[in-house]
Amino acid sequence: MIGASEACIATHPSDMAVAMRALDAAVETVKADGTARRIPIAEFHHLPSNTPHIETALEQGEFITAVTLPPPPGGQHFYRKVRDRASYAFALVSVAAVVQRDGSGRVALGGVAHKPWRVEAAEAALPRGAKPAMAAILEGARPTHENAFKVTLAERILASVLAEARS
Amino acid sequence: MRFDTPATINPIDQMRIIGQPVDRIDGPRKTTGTAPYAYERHEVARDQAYGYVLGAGIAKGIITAMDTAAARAVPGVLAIVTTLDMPRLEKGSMNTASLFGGPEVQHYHQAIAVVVAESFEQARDAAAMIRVDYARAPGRFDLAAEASKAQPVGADSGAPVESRVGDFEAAFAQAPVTLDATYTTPDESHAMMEPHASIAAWDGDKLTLWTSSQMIAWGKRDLATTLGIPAENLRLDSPYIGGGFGGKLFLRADAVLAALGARAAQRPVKLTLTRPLIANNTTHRPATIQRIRIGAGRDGRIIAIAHESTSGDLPEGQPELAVAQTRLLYAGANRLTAMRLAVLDLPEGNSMRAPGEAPGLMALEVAMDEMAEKLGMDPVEFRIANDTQVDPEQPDRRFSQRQLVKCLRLGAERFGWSERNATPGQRREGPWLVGMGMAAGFRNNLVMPSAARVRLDAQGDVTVETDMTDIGTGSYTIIAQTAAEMMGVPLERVTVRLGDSSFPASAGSGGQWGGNSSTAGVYAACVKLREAVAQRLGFNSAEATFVDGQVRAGNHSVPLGQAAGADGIAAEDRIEYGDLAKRYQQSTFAGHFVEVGVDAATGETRVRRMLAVCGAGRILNPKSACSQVIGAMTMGVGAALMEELAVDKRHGFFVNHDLAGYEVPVHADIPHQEVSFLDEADPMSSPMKAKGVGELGICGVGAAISNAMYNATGIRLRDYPLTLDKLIDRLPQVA
Repeated sequence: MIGASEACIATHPSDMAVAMRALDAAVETVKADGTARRIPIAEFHHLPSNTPHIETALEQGEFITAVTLPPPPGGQHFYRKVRDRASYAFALVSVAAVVQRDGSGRVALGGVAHKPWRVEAAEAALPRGAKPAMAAILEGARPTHENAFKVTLAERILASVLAEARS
Repeated sequence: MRFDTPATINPIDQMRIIGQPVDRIDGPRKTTGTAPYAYERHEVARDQAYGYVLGAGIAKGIITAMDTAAARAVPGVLAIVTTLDMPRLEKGSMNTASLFGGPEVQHYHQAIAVVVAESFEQARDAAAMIRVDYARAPGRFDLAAEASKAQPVGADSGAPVESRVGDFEAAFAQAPVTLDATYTTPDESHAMMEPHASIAAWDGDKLTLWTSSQMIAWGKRDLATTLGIPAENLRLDSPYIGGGFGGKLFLRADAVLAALGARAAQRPVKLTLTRPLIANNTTHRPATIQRIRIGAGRDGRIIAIAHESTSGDLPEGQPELAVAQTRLLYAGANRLTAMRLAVLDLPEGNSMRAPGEAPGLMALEVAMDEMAEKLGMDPVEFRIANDTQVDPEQPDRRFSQRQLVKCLRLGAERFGWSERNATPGQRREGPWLVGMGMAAGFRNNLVMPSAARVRLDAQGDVTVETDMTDIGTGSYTIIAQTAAEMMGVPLERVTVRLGDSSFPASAGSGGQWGGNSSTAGVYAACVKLREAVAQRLGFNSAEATFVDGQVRAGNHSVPLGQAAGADGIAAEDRIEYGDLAKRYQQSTFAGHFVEVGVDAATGETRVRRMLAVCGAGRILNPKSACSQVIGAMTMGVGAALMEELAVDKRHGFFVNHDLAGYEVPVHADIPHQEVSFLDEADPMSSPMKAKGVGELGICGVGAAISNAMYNATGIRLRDYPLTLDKLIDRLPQVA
């Protein structure tokens, strides 16, 4: 419902990559010619644009050798995955969040875009609560009739995460 | 044996083996992998080649050309048969859509070609290389949009298009308390574990088909029709079946195309419908739009009740009988039921576990919950106040046995119903809004003629042969129990052979008639065998008893093996029914109770515990019957909370055609289920005094869950499945 194109509205299904996005992981790869590189996770997954078949920054013959995490950012860590059945289903919406004692933090979303969705600039709104924060994170979203509920759902998940962080 | 007077005392009443919770006798074969399913029968024919079915890529139109040149060039390809190679094949009597032949496409993924190759992968690869040119025609894919054009229709051809008693409209207009609500249920897929599969081998003009079918005799008859060959040239064999739920009641494309592929390749052909093909190539439970109106007095007595249902199907198709239970479940002097059928160009709608009652009760039993609330009555008491012991449309017809009230009272007591807060949205446990709901369960008991052959050999062992099927239900076991009880031998002395069309034709597995009907057929054959044994020994057959491997009469006692003689002795008979089912209404009953938690923030609904109390005649094996009801309750959870074939209304197909997209409950969704059976025996049903349970277990479950969600949240949903997107805007603000 955000970052989609005329070519593709499929959502990124993984859970791990969403959490990795919140934690600023880096993807280490090696190419077919032996050269290694390090790709920040923010640049790893691509939006569909008019090339929906190209989902990641990986080149032909390049494979992942490691995923590294920077030192823990502190705060409370949450991963909330919401789905219609209790197991064995992709997230309708998932929220990876790190919430600091002062109310600041980070949020990445799964199930809403073609890649783990994080907008660092929007996180400044987090201390003001879930509603303004999610409005900023999902600014520019173009939900359809079928997935409009995800806007409300994402906001409510974030609200329950923030409530739990406060308690 | 003609069963036309109520059963009296007979050997089954001893209940030494019948009624015992014995383990299923096919269990060791299932758990050790030595019960081969259709696709695994590698030994039945040499040199099996693989068939792969190509489904149509449009929902409606004409195939103008098919180019198979590239496909035929794929290594290993032995034969390709396309739908353009022959005129439309004649339909079997139970089929709505054509299974193969001719250029017309009636629905998406209708079979249009079969490729036969040395390997599955080669066949699949070649199938993908067949080029098909279509002339696409516009289709009707949206039930809601077509509903206004739907035509009144009866339960079957010739049946009245509506049922009326009294003056519903006048009574409803005058009733002090009324409800008028519309409910919808979606298209659902059987999603059985084992896909449709067949191996076909020709020997001259004779065909053997090893397959997976609930109804051997129907399959044989309809395959003969479709292939245009005499039925006597055909043998079907289906000893093990990995689930059916109605999806394998009728002849399907796997059987037809395995046979055509084998004929073209001149090799035995093994073929399965791949999982992504099943949702659109085969049948499904049709979606419904149901309007229910109930009028009651302030005393809680129903004065007027109406149930109207609209569903859709291909031309010449059938309606979903969603009003069936409303004709019988509750009292009320003024009544109306009616069905309408819209023409849709979606795949064929047809039977799925408890057709009619399963979706019908998902509406009716929510309406009853809504009425109870309007009346300020407890939902259990409201149902009890409107119980009837007679067919409300024909009050001189009594129910053969009806203990619904007992099911409800016992269920309420065991479940702790008195703990329920009648005001919704009041119980909170951590993140969960917790609620309880209940519903009545109801499913008619159908009886079908069923034959069996029983043989006693010189060792005193008993062999039963019937074309009855065991679709995971426990048929092997209850048939063995029946024969053991009747012949006075231990269970392990009985061998049961099922699913072969060369055996006497049985009731088959469908409509929850299989257990009672097939064992009644075995009973009839055993009665005949007992008479033959007694006669051979010169005993008075009325006096002879069969106990502990002996035949006894007066002072005489002869071991069964000796009585059978060196060549053994066999008998065959068929149970047939008189008019008891017309004179008495035969049905099965349940009280379903459910507790759910709804996540107050996200709307995720999870079932916490379930209870079913069932009144379904004599329970032949409490263990397998309990398994049936547990499975059906699980299916009811799916119907309530997640199952829905999503219709692409532009292109006309079910989008989520696999088990990742079409969600059914997983283990984590089913925490705690309890089942109990009333101690009943219904002498009107058969000499077994049993009735069906396999479908009763699903009937009412969806409504009980819906009612529990209402009790938890105060939000009433009327469109299934009850997914969180329908709740999310109405949940309380997150703290």
